Amino acid sequence: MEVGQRSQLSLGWIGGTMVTLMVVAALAAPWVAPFDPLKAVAQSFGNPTAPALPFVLGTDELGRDVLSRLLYGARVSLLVAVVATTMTLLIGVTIGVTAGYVGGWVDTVMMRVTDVVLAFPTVLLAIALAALFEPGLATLFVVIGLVSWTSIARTLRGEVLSLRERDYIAAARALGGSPLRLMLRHLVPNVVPTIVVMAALSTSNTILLDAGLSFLGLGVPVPTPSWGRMISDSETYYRLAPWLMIFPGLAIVYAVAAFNFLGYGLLARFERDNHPS
Amino acid sequence: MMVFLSRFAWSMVTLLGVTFLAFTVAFVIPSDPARTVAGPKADRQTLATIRQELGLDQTLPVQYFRYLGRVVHGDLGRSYLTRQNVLDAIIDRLPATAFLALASFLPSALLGIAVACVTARRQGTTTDLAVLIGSLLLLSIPTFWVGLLLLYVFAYRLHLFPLGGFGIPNVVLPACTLGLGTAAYYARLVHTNLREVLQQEYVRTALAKGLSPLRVYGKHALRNALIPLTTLLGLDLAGLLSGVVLTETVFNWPGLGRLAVEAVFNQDIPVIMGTVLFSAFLVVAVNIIVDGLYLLIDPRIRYRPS
Repeated sequence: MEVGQRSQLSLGWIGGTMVTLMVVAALAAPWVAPFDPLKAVAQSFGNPTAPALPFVLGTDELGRDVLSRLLYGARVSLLVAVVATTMTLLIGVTIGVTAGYVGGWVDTVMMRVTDVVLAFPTVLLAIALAALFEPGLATLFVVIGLVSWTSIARTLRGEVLSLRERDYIAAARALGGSPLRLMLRHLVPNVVPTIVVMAALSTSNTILLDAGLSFLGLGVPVPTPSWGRMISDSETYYRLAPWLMIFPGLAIVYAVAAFNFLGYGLLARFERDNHPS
Repeated sequence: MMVFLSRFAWSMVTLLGVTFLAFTVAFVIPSDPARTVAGPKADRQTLATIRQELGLDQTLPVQYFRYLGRVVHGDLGRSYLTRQNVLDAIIDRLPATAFLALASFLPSALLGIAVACVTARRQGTTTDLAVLIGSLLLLSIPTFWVGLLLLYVFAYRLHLFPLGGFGIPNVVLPACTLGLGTAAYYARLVHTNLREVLQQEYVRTALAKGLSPLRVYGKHALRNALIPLTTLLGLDLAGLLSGVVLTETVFNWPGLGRLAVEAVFNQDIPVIMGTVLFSAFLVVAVNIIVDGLYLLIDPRIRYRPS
């Protein structure tokens, strides 16, 4: 891309700052949130109130403070993002690196499996799986992890295929290293940059998928605040209380954009390391 | 030709894999497959009958082959709720989804390309950065949220469009929702390609020769920048079907996506699994067709020495 490397790197810094802010806010929620996200604190049960002090972002139909719910919702989103992305990475990296390095029929089988999973529309497969299991955090982790690993697997396989032919690999092989050791000691460290970039981009997709599943009611059970769920809950009240719909959505956009920016910034950083110009 | 045949054969393998995965999810994972097929309200007699019909007492491989047999004959089971044949239900809803998909894909792809053409002409890394940030931001917006916002602003507040349901004026808002991501994606893709192409020598030569810039951009640059697109214009069907799920739910659009979501709410497993299986089949089938078309269109592939 023609985008100046420096500007893309700055984008990365912006993304990184956004992510850090979000993580800090989520971790500090118990101290920073003005109210208990689960308790009705406004005096108006049944009526959402508009943003006004002390309820900076308003309250919902059960009298709960929106800002506090958003902050606690950030905890859930981040937790799901981190764990689900870790699962995605575990599956995707293993399959991608093994397929690329070992090659032959192992590669073919793994790529066929990838094709099969890719044939299923992600959200459809996710809701089918989520419907079959009990709703909850663990289900979310597993379901999201199981549907998202394909792009990482494919990208890594490509990387490994090209790295495989490099001289230092041939040298290591000539020195008599076992294939597993070779894979772990030499290949993996070199694909780490790609893994890191894909982790960031995958996290943004995870957050979107989690929001979608929560919106459909397949995420964490009530009353734990979850951004997607807050949006679906707000549907009944959108005539009276549009803020109930706007703020959680903004939160999602913020979170997803943060990881997208971070991912592209990291991409620019690693490209710069590889092709200093 | 050989290339196509081998790809076709591999697609058949993929289809087989798809049925295998669907079978595993529907019959291997749940603790009582008869229950998942019959529904939570079925009595023991029904369960016993189903167990016998589906051969659930047989070994797994036998079960799989019987499942495969049923699928090949179009028997995807029956819905708990409506007792309707799942395949019939799917075929009923398919046109609505197809209509929405086309209505959203074509205009948004064109819009994205148009935006890219305009922005690519301006040299400079600022425009490139703007395109990148813009498309990343647009791609960060959840579809269901956009849908709700559009409903709120344009349907409820401004009364410009109906509040959901099926029909031509009703398709505008859902199509915009679904198309947002597509437009952003194509805008960035074509922008990148076009910028690369515009740097090429032959463009500079053509301009130096005195050809009007319009002709140069239109004829040479755009055509070459679009070649990678023909692969993608084969529709990212899986992505489209994915996006359709949430959009149809928000707008009450009577398509496949809403069928699946309703089935999930009702724990109607046969319909869920049927929809999932059907979608995957559709994706593979469309990919084969597109592969075939692509092989026909691009002469470089046809004449490549084997």
